[in-house]
Amino acid sequence: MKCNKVRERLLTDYRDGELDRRECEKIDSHLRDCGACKKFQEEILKFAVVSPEGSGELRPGPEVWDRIRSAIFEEEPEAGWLTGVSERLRFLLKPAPLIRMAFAVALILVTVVMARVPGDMPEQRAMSDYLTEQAVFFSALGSGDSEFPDDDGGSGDLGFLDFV
Amino acid sequence: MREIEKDLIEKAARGDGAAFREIYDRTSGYVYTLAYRVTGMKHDAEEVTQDVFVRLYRSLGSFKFEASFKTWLYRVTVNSALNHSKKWKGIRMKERGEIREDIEATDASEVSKSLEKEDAGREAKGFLERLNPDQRACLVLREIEGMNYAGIAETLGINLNTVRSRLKRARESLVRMGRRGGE
Repeated sequence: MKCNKVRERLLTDYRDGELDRRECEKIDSHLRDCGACKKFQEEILKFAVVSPEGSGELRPGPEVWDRIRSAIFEEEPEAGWLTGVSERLRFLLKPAPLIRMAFAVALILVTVVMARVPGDMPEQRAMSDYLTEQAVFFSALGSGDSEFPDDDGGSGDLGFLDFV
Repeated sequence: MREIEKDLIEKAARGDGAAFREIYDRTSGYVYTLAYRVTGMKHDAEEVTQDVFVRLYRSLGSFKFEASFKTWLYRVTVNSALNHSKKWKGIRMKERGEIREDIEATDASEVSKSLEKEDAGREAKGFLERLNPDQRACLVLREIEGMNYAGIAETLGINLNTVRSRLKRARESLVRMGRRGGE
């Protein structure tokens, strides 16, 4: 066996136990007779040795799991039953602008009709005032300028839904 | 690393976060260590670990159990680490070149000091990371993970002769570096 062939085997199959016994014996025989190849084998054993930093298993820092969790779970928010309920309530409590406007127009029409009805009973006047007030309120809602006023004069926006 | 039970994988695939966390706890050390050995950088190993587990989570549902989970994880980790190394090698060399140009413009003696310091640091870390990523991966799988040529070929998706030639070149380089005393 020629030296270059032996050296190729020394760097690969011979070193890694991938040769059959007969091939190994041929190489062993060559090494006994060839000083240069024997020296090359010693160099391989001396320099081509992998010694990883730390022999045991390493552990990633806790921030690695945090980043994985963010990448995986935050892109898929859990759809709990409460979230579904709040979404439905949101739809009912904040109707589309077109619906709000239609309701306001209907109230105005009712007010006008009531105002034209003969008679001046206090109940009628109270009802008329109430409807006018409601019509103004819903018009404002339809334009998006108003929120639900509460008794304290603050915003009555149902902000708790945002936390669900 | 012990093999992960089929039940646990199926639970995680159904969206059970605790099951996925258990898989992470049991395999992340293995993934991170392997990634570190292939990339040679702790920061890169962390990014590879993150990438592997995000991919794992998204693939769990389609995992067919034809290959062992361990083999699958091995393959994904090594290939992700190799891609990462190749991608960042170019960027780092470019950055290194730019830094070199910047310093050259100001003080030439500082440049040589800086590069000497950098080289000394690299030398201390060993010759392994000086090899190209493909050769390093083969060497890590063979020498540290104890895989035979067929296993390396399967993991990296290459043929046996490519495994052989990469190992040969890697060891030739190590011998050459050793002769020059770390040149």
